[in-house]
Amino acid sequence: MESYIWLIPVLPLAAFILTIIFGRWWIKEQAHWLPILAMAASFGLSIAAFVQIRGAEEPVILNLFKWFSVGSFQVPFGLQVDQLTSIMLLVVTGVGLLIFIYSKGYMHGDPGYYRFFAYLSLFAFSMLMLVMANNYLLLYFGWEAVGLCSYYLIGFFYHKPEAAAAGKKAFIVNRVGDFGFGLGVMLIFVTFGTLDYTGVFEAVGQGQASNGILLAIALLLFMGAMGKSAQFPLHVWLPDAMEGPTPVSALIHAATMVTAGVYMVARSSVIFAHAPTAMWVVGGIGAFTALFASFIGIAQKDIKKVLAYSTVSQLGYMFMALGVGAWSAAIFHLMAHAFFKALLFLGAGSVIHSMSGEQDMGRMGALARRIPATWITFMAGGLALSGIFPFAGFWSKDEILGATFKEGVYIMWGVGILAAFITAFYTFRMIFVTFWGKETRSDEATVKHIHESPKAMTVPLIILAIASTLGGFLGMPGQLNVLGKFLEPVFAVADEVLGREAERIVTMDVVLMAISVGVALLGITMAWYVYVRRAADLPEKLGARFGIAYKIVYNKFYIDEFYAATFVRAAVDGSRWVWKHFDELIIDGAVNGMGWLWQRGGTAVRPIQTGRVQNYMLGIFAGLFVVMTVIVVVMFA
Amino acid sequence: MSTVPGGIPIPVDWYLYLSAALFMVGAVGILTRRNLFIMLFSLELMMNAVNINLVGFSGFHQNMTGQNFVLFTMAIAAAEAAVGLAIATALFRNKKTLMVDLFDTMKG
Amino acid sequence: MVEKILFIIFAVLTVAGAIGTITRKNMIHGLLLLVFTFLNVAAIFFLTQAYFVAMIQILVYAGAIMVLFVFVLMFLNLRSFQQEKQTHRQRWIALVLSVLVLVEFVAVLYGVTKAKYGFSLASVQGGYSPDQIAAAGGNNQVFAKALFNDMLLPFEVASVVLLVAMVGAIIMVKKEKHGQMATRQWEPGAEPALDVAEEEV
Repeated sequence: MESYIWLIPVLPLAAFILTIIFGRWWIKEQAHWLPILAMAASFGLSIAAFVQIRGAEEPVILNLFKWFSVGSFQVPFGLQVDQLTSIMLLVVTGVGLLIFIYSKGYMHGDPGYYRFFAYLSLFAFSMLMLVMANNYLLLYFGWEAVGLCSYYLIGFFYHKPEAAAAGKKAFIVNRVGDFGFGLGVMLIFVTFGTLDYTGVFEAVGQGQASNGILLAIALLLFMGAMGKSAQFPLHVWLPDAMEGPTPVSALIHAATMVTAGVYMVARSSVIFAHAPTAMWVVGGIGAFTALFASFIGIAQKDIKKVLAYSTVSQLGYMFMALGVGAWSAAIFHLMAHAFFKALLFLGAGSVIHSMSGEQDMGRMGALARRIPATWITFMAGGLALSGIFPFAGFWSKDEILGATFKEGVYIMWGVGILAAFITAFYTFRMIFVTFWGKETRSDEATVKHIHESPKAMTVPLIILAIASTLGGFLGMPGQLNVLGKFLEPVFAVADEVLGREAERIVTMDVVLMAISVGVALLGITMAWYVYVRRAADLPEKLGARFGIAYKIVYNKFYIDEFYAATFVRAAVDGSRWVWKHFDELIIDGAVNGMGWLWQRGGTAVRPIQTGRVQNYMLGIFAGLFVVMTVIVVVMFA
Repeated sequence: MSTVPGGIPIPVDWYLYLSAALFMVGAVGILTRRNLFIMLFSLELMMNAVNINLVGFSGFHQNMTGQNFVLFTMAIAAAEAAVGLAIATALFRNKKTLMVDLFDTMKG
Repeated sequence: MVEKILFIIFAVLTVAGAIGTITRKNMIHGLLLLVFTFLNVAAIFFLTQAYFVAMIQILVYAGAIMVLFVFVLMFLNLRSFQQEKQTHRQRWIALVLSVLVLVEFVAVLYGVTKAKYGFSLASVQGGYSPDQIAAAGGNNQVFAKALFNDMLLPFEVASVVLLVAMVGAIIMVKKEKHGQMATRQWEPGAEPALDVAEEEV
């Protein structure tokens, strides 16, 4: 196994290098082949790794070479595969492969075709490094690299100012979180003297650090997770990131990169288990985000924005699960979410594709018959997101809700149920508005042009739809929880710390399931009532009735405006002040002063350089005179 | 002992005094004349001063290297004369003068 | 003794010729005096029994190189410069400095050669005394043997230097199609302006 796991990240990297170098002049329209093949090979290797790691007690660690060696600061460039990594590998390479294939159809004819695939490959490499790292520094490398790729890909249409601004926003907001993450990594090294997962977790288990330090580490790490996984105060970048091409939204901003935070917290489960306060923070922020983002999702007009807020909300669920120590439930939801959210994004992309680039749901409608394959698969994704039995979302969300209920955190459970209700409502609002209705609310040319997407796009949709439908059976409650058992060795230590019994048996609680399915159905029914039955008048009426509330929700609770008025404003004004008072006065002053000094000095000695050769010769002879004088004095004195 | 028994009958310091005088005459020419050609002449004078030194010491030390070196000095003098004259020609063609103190393009 | 008297005569003529060279207004006169100086130097070489070098001095220096000078002088027709001021503005300071340096030279030479001041100029017997040279077949033979045995590489390098000088000279003298070089020309009789550095920056 050590013999091939290094190939998993290296193959996409090779594809990236070849594509970026040769893409522009040579590969051009065939640029998709290398990345797709590399991804397929990585996927195959991931399956092999998955099969081999099953039941293994210890992670497989492959130290490739020494990366850093500064005094006692030793960081190997090491890869690690355990059950958690293996699940992540399958999700990243599997969903990634489908999205690569989808991109072949979606991005067809784009002038930046090769660039797109090169960046996607680079992203795949970075993400695989992130999940395969065996120490925090390498994790940090992958963490930053995926952020960079995210920046590239959000701003892929860089000629669009909004896209460029969105990329910048994503990058800067992530900096806030990554700053905390970086501090956390440093604190880990300072405290434990190592960055290897195994070493750090052992040291934590032996109680080498005080509770306060552990809390600080956990919170700092979670700060990074908040940035990357778009949790409440730092969620603002994700909706804007929808400016990127839809496959990017599906791959990076739904299925993989944004779940890096969840992965990281799950990976650091030992640290978090030792810091109960941090777990409360994680759970609290997760629950709040789940509810908060789903509220915003109700009022969005842009189909991708709805999905973006839905992603934020679902990530909130995952953190909620992590907060109550249901690690494998979080990973299960991560996986299920990767399936159905990628499916929804790709479906949305297919819709947008068929609508000639239209993203406003208000200009869609009645698409069900025109693009049946997209519609059916989209429905599957929507049902999974809403948590309807037996779709994947049902099982994973239910496991999370069940875990919160069992932990006795009823308020979290209540919030989760409420968010589930809203989720079902906005999901089906989106589906009804997009696919139902009497006619397409768009101009004639667009309507005429509506067509089903090519095979390269529909086949991934169908595969993802199947995964979204059946994927949930991996994590059925009780003895049937295959995934939970599979992940057991990874979380055994953390579970022990939290005082859980080794056998994680969540009894099938039919009542809880019935409640969650009930509220989901209620949400769907309400959506149907509002947007199908009385589509003609009720939405407007409601909008008028709750005018102010609607406006606030539509404007995303004015978070962006708040940030613009406070942090951005402060940063800009502060920078301007520093510019005026520090840069111009002191730095420029020093530089200009230095320049002035040399200028004056140069002017003063300038006449020496007359440009006339004989003056220089006189200088030479004057020197000769001095030398001779010295010799004479020495000789005769 | 400025002469060697059985060697050149002229004391070596005579050569050195002559060489110094010739060299300084050349130096005065270089430093005081404006005419580029006279300056080139002065350069040749200074080189000849060097040659006198070399030959004088060659006789004094009864060694051939000094005389051999005069040959190289002459080769360099020839090269210098050729390049110097070429520069003078080009300068005269472009600036219509050979008064060296008028060329101050490189002044600071 | 005869050699010494001859040396003094030729030395005086050499210096006189040199002074004449640098004081002439007419460049042709200066040039002829220069040739005269070279001939005297050649005579001094003869007195030192450096016959080959002396002949080269006459043939190459006083002959070839000077012909080149004459040729260029005639070619350029520089007579007009005789009306101009001949000496540089720094002439007095330069003259004083030169005289001082010469005095110092003489003083140092005196100190070195008289062995009175802790120095001495010891002769190193290089194996080429006049008798040995005569025995080895004369100055030319010995000179050539030394040159081509010990100085072969510098000799070849000298030839390369001459080649480079030749190429450079040809390129510099070659006329350009467009007079790109011409930037500033002086009327005959121009004097350098007494400028101090003016504020340009």
